[in-house]
This record gives sequence, C-alpha cells and structure tokens, in this order.
Amino acid sequence: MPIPEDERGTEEQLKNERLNHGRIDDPPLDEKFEVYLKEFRPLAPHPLPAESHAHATRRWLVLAAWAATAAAVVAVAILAFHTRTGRVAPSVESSAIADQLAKPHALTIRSANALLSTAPSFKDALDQMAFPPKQSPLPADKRSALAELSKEKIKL
Amino acid sequence: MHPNRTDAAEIESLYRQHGAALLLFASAITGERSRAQDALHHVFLKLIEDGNLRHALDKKAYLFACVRNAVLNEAKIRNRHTPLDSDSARFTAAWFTSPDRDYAAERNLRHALSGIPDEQREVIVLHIWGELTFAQIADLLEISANTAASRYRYALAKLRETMLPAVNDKEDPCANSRG
Repeated sequence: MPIPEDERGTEEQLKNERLNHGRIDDPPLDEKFEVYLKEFRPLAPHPLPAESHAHATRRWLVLAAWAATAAAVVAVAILAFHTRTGRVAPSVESSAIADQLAKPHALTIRSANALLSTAPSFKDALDQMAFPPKQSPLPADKRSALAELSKEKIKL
Repeated sequence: MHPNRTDAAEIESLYRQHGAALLLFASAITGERSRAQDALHHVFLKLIEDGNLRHALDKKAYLFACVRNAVLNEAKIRNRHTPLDSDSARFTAAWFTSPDRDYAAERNLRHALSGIPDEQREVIVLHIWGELTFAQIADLLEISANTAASRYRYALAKLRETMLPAVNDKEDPCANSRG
C-alpha cells in the first residue's frame, strides 16, 4: 500500500492541527478517549461453519475410504474366484482323464449290455456296474494282508 | 495437507477469541459487514483445510494479515466484474455493541470511522479493537512503526473531533480531563 504521507510531515500536521484547535498534546485526553472507544465492543461474527464443514469433509473421506476398501475386497474376491476356478477346472478335467486312464474297463454301453446279458440277475448286473471287481494289484506269488485277515473268523 | 483435530480446534478457538476484532477490521476495509463476514469465513475455512497457521509465529497478526489480504483480493475481483457499490450501501449495519445499548453512540462512532481515510481507519481499528502494537501493525501494513503511530494519532484526533459534539449532548467522556 502506498504511504500517502511522510512520517515527519504527518507529525507536523498533527501538531499544527492540535495547536490550531487549541489542544496542544494532551495525552490524558487521548487516553480517556481511547478508553471510551474501547467501551464499544465489536460485534461477534457468525459462528464458523468449520465444524460442520470439517465433519462433512471427514465423513466424505471415511465414506470414500470404505468404498475403496469394499471395491478392493470385491476385486480381490473376483480375482481369487477366477484364479481358483481357472485352476480347479483343469484339475477336474485332468482327474477325470486320470480316472479314465486308471480304469481299464470303463463302463460303456457295450460293457453294460454285456453285463446285463451275462449277469444272473438285474441287481447283480447293476452291482457290477456300480462296484466293478478290482483287479488285484498284487503279483500272483504275494497275498494281501487285508484278504488274509478277512478270511479269519473272529470269535467275540 | 490436512490439519489434525488439534489444529482445527486451535483455529476454532482463535476464531472465537479474535473473530469479533477481525470482523471489525474487515468491515473497516470493506465498509460492508456481509462482505467482511464472508471474507472472515473464507480465511478460517481455508486455514482449517490447509493447516497453514502452525507456521505463523505471531498468529494473531497473521490472522489480521490473512483477513486483510482476503478482503483486498475479493475487492479486486469484485471491482473487475461489477461497478463499485455506492457509499450509501456501506457502513450501514451495526459494527459494535455500544455501552448501555446506546445505539446513537454506535452509529455516531461508525459515522466517524467512515469519515476518516482508509489507512487511518485500518490503524485505529487494529490498535484499539485488535489490540495490536504499532510494531505489529507496521509489519502487517508494511509501513514503519512511526507511520503507524502517526496515522493512529491523526485518526484519533479526527474521531474525537467528529464524535465529541454528539457525545457532549449527552455526556462527554473526556469532561474530567478537560477540567
């Protein structure tokens, strides 16, 4: 801001004015007038909307944080689901293939027809389809302990 | 940067403590209480958001400087886009609570303040109601302390001249010192 008056000039002006008005420096007069002016209290301003504003800002931040967290959780869940299904599908496929490979005599329409024609009864045919007789993995010169134990007659 | 809860509480406390004087100071510059109020809120909301107050050594003087800058900036923008309001719209709303609810005295003081130059009005408001020292006022207004003191004394003399005739009709506050 430009200074409109020179300091010394202002002092001189003030002194001259006081002399012209017949009031040579009169500190008590100034002091009393200052006291009188101070009796007027400035009006209080309107309440600061800072509290509500800050709360609103904080609320938005909290909401944004929650939204971000929820979005992150959903994203992670989707990713995990995709990853798991992506891994499970091939494993199911591969296990089915492995089962297919492991079963030398898989159930087919042809084998089912054969079973139905050779089995003594329909129930036996179904049993053989459901529980096909497993070939013993043991060589001919070895015996299964489970088979031996099953032969024993336990007396209670 | 967002201030923590302590900073916000401190700023709100400063608003309660100095808000009235700051509003008066802004009103003294703008002449309009509503614009002064807007500027004051703008300053404090900005302070709460930014938390800049923690760096201020003299917080009270800094607040007065912020309010002054806000008012002057707002005046620049306003003058650029709209014509100046007439003086009749300024200095109309009450600025003070007068002793003994003497509304005429309040109006008299406001009228006297409106009659002195802007730079003197700033200094007298800052010194009497803002309770800033001349050194603080000098820093704030970027003038020397002597200039601030000169403006103050000059403004005080003018106020007294303007107000005493009206005050004398009722009670002269300086009657005792006059003898």
